[in-house]
Amino acid sequence: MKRSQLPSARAAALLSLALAGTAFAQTAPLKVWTRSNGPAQDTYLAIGKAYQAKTGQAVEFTFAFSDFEQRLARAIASGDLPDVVVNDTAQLGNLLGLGVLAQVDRNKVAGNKDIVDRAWKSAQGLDGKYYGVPSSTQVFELFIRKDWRTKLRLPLPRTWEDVTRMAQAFTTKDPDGNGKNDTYGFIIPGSTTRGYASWFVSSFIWQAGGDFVQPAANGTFKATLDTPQVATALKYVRSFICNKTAQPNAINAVTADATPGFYTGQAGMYFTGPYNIGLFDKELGKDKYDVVAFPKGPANADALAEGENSYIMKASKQPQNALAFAAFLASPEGQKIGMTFNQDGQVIRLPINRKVDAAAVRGGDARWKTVQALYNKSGHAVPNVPNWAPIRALTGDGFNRILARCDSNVEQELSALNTQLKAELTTQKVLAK
Amino acid sequence: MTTARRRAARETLVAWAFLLPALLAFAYFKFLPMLKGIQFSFYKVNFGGENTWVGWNNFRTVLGDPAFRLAIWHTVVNGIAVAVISAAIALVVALALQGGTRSVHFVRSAIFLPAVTSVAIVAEIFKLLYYPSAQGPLNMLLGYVGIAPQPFFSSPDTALASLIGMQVWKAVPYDTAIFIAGLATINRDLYDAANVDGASPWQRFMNVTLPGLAPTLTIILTLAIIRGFRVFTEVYTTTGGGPGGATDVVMTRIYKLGFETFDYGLASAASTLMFIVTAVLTSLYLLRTWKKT
Amino acid sequence: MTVTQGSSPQDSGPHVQRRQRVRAGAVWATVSRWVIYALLLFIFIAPFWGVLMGALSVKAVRAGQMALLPNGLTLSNFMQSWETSAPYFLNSVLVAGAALALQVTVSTLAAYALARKKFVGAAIVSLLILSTLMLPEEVIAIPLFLVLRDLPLIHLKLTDNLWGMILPLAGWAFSIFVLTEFMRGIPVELEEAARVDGAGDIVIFTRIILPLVRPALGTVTVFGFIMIWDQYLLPLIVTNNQKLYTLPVMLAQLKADELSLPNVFLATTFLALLPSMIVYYALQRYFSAGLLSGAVKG
Repeated sequence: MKRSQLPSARAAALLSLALAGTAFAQTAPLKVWTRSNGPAQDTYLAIGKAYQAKTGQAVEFTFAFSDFEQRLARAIASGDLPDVVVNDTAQLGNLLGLGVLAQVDRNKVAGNKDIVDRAWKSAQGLDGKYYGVPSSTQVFELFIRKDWRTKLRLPLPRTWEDVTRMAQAFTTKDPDGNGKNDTYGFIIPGSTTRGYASWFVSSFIWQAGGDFVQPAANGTFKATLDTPQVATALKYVRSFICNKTAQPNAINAVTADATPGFYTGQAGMYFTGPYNIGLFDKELGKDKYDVVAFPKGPANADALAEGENSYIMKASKQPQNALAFAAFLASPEGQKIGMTFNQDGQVIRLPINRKVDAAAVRGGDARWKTVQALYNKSGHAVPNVPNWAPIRALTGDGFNRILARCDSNVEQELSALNTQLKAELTTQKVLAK
Repeated sequence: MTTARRRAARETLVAWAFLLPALLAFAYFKFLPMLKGIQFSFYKVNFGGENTWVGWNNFRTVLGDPAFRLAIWHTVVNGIAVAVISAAIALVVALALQGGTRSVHFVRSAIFLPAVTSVAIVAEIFKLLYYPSAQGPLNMLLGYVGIAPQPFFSSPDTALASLIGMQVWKAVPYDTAIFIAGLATINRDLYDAANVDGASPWQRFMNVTLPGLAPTLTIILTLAIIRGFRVFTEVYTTTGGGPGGATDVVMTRIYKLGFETFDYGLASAASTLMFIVTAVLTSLYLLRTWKKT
Repeated sequence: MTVTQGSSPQDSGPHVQRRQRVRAGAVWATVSRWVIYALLLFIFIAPFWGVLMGALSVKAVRAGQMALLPNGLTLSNFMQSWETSAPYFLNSVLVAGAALALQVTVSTLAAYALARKKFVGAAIVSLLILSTLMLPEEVIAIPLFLVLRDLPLIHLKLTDNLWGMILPLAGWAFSIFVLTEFMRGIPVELEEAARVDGAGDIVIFTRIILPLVRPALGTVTVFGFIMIWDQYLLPLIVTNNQKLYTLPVMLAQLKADELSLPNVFLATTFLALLPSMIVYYALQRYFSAGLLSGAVKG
């Protein structure tokens, strides 16, 4: 396996060099930023090449993986912005607040009718206007060690309680048969860093029938963290930590700490995005794990749906071309390259284009069929407040606090957190009276 | 009279000439950015558009935030604890590793390894050492002496102490090396004189070694406390400020404000405050030690 | 001290007893010394063992456990890591070499002024230099970036090139203070004698001061190298061009990527550790040179 970043960088340099001599060199290359690791960079370069073959315009990528937002903040501060930034849907509010996004006329995007409405929604500001073109989506699903489950003769879980019991069994019944008491049930990335705790707990809040906020009149919101439903969700997640069926360092784990826990055989269940499928296939083996929906909670089986948008920068000198690139990335051709060019770097997880089938493109992989069905049925995006980032940071801290102490009063903590949330909504000028 | 004055003027000129390269570098890469940072403190910063003047509001928000006040407390505790504990241990280690035999040399060189290791790597090592299960390396060792597994970073009660332990581990070899270099500067004649006077090892330590090490100790403590106040990577890469805010320090709060929620004005105000507090405390401390000598 | 082997016939009782006591004490001292050495080595070296074993392992070690021995010995993690990180390694070496030379030179000059000259404003300059250690770098990142992309007055662009990672490290308060403290220890008589012989500041600085502070130069070179080698923020803000990344920036990418494998990451951290070790062990004799010979002696 190759995790080289240099070849991509070299390829980019060669690409732009090669183009300098061609007839299309009159138009400046389109500048695009993406948050990608090495293999994903190769995929984007391939997309850039295909776009160029089609339109004649070269694409100059800037890739960064860590500190992407910090780099973006500097670019904004100095006015050196690219034409397009491909970034998380959850960053929409942040970018809007920074005043760098150009409005997108949905009807003028080539092939806009093929892009699913759900995806368009996450490119929509609170004012109902669009500020980006969707490129990819995904949803959380439950990964379970099939071999452990078979060994302990456990069926697939159907309820929250089943998951609790399975976590218990994985922890206590030596599912890997090594004679040591060194396995765990459920992997939780509960760190406060980057708001991981909030990100992870959100699905459970919705499954319990609660939410962070409720829309009220005139585009305002009520803070609803002090409801019994939210308390139920936090108590449920905390029970894994307090019963010691979660991996021991759950409270400080970010995903980079958590993920190896699944494929190195530390724990048997992991609730995460489908981008891990390739890694788990390689490190664990296709036949060793199931990919299923997280069992229904008290209210429903909603799971966190996220995605990426191509954001067009207001400062772009070639907005038409920027939009054309965004449309290309969303087109069947762009989507297919993004899903198949490099197994290790799938920059498109679930297609946002209805002409593309997530499973069929990947050789009829049934697991992707599950993921797609799950997204259609239970995908749940974060609330469309003006700016989600501060709320994720706030609730990340708050949930981490609750998960950290088994004897803390959940209702009381949530009520305090709700007060802070109200203050934040006031800052964002959308607190319902 | 005039020659003396001319000489003083010449001295001053020479001094500034020797200082110039350093001052230029500091002016461009430290003072100028900091002045800009202080300026940002008074604005609601919007990088994409116009900044809005908000006066002292950012400062009020920072000081009114209980999470921030707690973070300040953690920062102070952490900074002082790491500085003092490491210096005390390092002094003992440095004295134990005095002398010129080959074995001493070997040990001295070998134990320096943590000091050359970057904080990011030290953090990885300690996340592993401190792993909060019975199979965690440190917990296994504790198990041999009959101590129950500890949660280390994973409990709000032990996280800060564990974090201090990690920093002490990295700082002791560093301090030890400086102490050993400092010991080398102590005039041997003083030891000879003490020996002639028939001083005991303890008297030699109190009357020769310790006074001789005073400048070194001042350097070590000052730098350690200043470094301690800015502690960031150590926390960010291990606990991120958790669990439950137990290891939240000023810099982790500032970082979140600045780069997770992009409230750069607020982040700047907080860092300005921290800078002022550190500067005032350090000046007071230095003034006192200078007056003493 | 000489403790002779055996006893001569003239020795009377109490003498023999005392010698035996001395010998027992010496044995006891030796044993306890070796126990202390072993303990120190264990505390400060052993933690690296697990990381090294993980880096030598074929499969990623189970999360939360330390490998006492590799699960199948391989160098492929190191090879794979080198294949990826070699160009970043080279960048780091270039930056460290240039910045270190600059930093030691600039610091020594400044220290000479602070230690050996009485001049108006000395205390304020000292405090100003000290204050640079208190700046929270993570937060001045954006203002620093704005300065680097267009240096005021001289309008130099230091972003997207290695100079931007080198020049800002020219001044380091730590080096200046260590050197200043050492230079203060040099007796004034030496300097005055030279002055009587007609030596100017440059001669005094290079011929008298520099040779005497050699142990301190060793110290600031080692610490300076480590400080420069581990710089993360500066290279991060100087460029978005991956070809100019240094090792720590590349390591951070690897660490943040949950799809990257832990054993390759561990191998890379070891590669990153090597240069600092080499520099230290190469210059380490300067640390102890002073100890052995009492070089800085009146």
